[in-house]
Amino acid sequence: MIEHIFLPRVKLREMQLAQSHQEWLLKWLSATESEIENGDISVSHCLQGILSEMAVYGAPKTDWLGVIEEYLMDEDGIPTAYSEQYGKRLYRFNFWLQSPIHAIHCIWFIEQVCLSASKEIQKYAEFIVKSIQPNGWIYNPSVSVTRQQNRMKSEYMMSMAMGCEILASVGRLSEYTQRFQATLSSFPVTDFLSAEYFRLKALILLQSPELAPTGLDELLSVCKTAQGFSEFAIESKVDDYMGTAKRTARDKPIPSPLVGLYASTVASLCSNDMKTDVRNWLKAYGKHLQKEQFDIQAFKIRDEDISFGTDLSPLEIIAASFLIASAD
Amino acid sequence: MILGQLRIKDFLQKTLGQVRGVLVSDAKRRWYAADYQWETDTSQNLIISRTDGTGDTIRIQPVIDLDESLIAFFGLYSGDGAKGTERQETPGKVKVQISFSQRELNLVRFAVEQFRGIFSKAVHFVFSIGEDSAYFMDGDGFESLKDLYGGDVPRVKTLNEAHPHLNAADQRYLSEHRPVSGTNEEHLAFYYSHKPTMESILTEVKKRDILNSGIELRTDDRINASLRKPFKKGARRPGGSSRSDEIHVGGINGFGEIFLKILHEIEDSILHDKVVSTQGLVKWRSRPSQIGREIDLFEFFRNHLYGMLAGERPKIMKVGQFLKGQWPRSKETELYPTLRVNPLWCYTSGLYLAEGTTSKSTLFQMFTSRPKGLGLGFTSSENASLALILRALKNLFPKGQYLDAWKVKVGSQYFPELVVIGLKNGVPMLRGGNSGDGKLRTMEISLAIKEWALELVNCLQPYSDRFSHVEPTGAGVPRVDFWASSSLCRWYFPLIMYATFGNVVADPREFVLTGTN
Repeated sequence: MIEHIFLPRVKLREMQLAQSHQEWLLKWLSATESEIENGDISVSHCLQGILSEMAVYGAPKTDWLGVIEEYLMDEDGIPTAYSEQYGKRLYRFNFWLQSPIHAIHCIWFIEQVCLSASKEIQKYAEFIVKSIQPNGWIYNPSVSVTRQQNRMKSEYMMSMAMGCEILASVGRLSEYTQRFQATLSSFPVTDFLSAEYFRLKALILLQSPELAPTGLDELLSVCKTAQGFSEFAIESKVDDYMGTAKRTARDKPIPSPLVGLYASTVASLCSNDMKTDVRNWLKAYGKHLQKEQFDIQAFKIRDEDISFGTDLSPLEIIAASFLIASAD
Repeated sequence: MILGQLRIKDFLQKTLGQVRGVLVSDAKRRWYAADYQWETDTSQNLIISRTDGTGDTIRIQPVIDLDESLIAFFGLYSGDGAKGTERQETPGKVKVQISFSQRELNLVRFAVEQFRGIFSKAVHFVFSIGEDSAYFMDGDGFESLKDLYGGDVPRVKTLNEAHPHLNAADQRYLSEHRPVSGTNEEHLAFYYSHKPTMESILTEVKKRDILNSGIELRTDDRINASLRKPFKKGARRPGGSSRSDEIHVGGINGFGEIFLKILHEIEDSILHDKVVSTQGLVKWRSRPSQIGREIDLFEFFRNHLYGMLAGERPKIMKVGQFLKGQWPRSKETELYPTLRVNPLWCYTSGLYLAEGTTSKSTLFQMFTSRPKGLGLGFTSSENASLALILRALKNLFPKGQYLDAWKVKVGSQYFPELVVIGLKNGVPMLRGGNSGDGKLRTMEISLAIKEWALELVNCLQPYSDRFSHVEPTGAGVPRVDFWASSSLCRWYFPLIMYATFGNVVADPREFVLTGTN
């Protein structure tokens, strides 16, 4: 059974969507259809499209591989994150032609779902191998040259987990096991649930979850919100240089169903008390979502009552339906 | 030219001395309130004090004329002035203290003169210089320390010797973590070993600055230094500077709420083009957009002292309904033939001087030495400020030349939020540039933030297709930044300088040149 790294524990083909969530996804898919027609597409849209179709119909209904081949491959046949038309959504954004690790992983995943016996899979694995940096992490510096200490932790943990998945699928992960284990296990516990989830996912693929850092119980405790879990605790926002708390008095933690799924996986390595606590907390969150099916909010900046970025997305909707189903 | 009046007495009579207002800054919505009583003296001046008995009693004219410079001063204060601080016991309510953050000496002098113009003898100043003591650990700071000690800096005492009784703030400092060489204990010992010497160096620097600026110090004006523990103010390395300069305005304690109200009524009446502001505190001679001197730009750039940069003038000609002009080594630009120096232009001139992305020293030096690396840009988290600046630029430049593109800058305390937006969209947050402060590479996040920006700063709706990217940056709330072609600078900057200083400095070549920003 195929499971996507962004949606741990979710069996997409078997899942029961809440009626309102199904309708939301259908609407989203319909909007995406016209974007595809215009060649105005990103690899993340394709991923969310195929995940939505699997959740709604039990199987893909769109020729996603055809879409990718048409719009999301560069001249060398390497997957790209954005189509040329999509790149025009930002004014004079010259970086639209890029092949980050998540784009490679997305297409690798779609091929797995479509059971396409792709000869390209070795090419993707080779791309991952070439993207292993001297510091042990996996990323494509031609997309983002940013030094590791200034990159986002969830980004390089995510890319590591994705790289491990691709290498494992072609039987090449064992070549890098100890190196990746060393990189992952030397990095102190972070303040972010997604980063710890992706690290754990990579360690599980490396068959060494015991190398996860200590302190995950505390992280889960501080990321607990009134409902569900937030990616981070507001109190953990500390200035790297001055060592002092940032000015966050007016910021509020916002729970996310997706982060709830990550919390659930991270809890698997925690104390029994914490496992039980997280399970019960997510059940309660699922029940809340059953009543308030679209209570999936975006952040707000201080006192401004305007959504700062995305609230609902296919991934959040699927995660919410999963939590609702698990709450019964 | 008198463009309007501040009608203090009428306002107090109408509101029965109740000053109320909402303060929107840095995405925070707060409020202020104060009650005043007043009487009139034999010369018809108002004697005002707070009804709660706190603060000073001040004497002020019942009506104050608003000329170009004073309007520009309020624009300047809107950008660089203190708006107030919130107290724990009254969440959301700000207590307003009048002070002004500025280092550029011409602007400091200008602000001092305007404050004195409004409050006359009541007002006095504390010129304060703030610095991170890490500045003295290496480089120029260390050299100045060495000079003051006569060549050899005495060894740093142990913390126990330098400061045996640690207070709560010291203990907190010791428990913090910073990615710098040395221990917190060593840094604190350095701070206490040299604190008086470092403070006296800073005070001397500030004294010299004030002397150079030509500000006439009065007996009750003061100069002081505010020294922070190493790396607490923003220095990122030993020898790094995080200097800040403040002017604290004394003698008018308790009057901050009225001052803020004046500022808000000026800004609001200009934004909505109203002859009389909401509470009647400001009355313009007519609709703000229709008053003020009209400048013939052809003449201005051919003959006026403010229209000449480092001895050079542009080629300029009338073509159809516009002017076409070109400065040496610059691109041809189209202008409207006239510009009205109305309250909008004056207010935004001050605002741009405070908040514009152009280095302030460049704006003062350009009249005497050839300007280099000019750029026109403006950053704000408030719709009103951006709307006013864009409207002013629109009055000078036709055909949308005044906005090339815009972006959203997001300070590091909001990076985790950006990461979550990425997760929701199935992407990581990929930063750009070596230090990560370049264009965000992840389009999904930029596009999600664009929607937020257009709702917050709706004056940018007509330019929605010019959104370029999100830029992760050091600190601060998410804010909008727009920029225009640098060829516009040589036309725009002389005119904002003229609006602000034309009444007080006849020849712009007489500005004090300091090289500081």
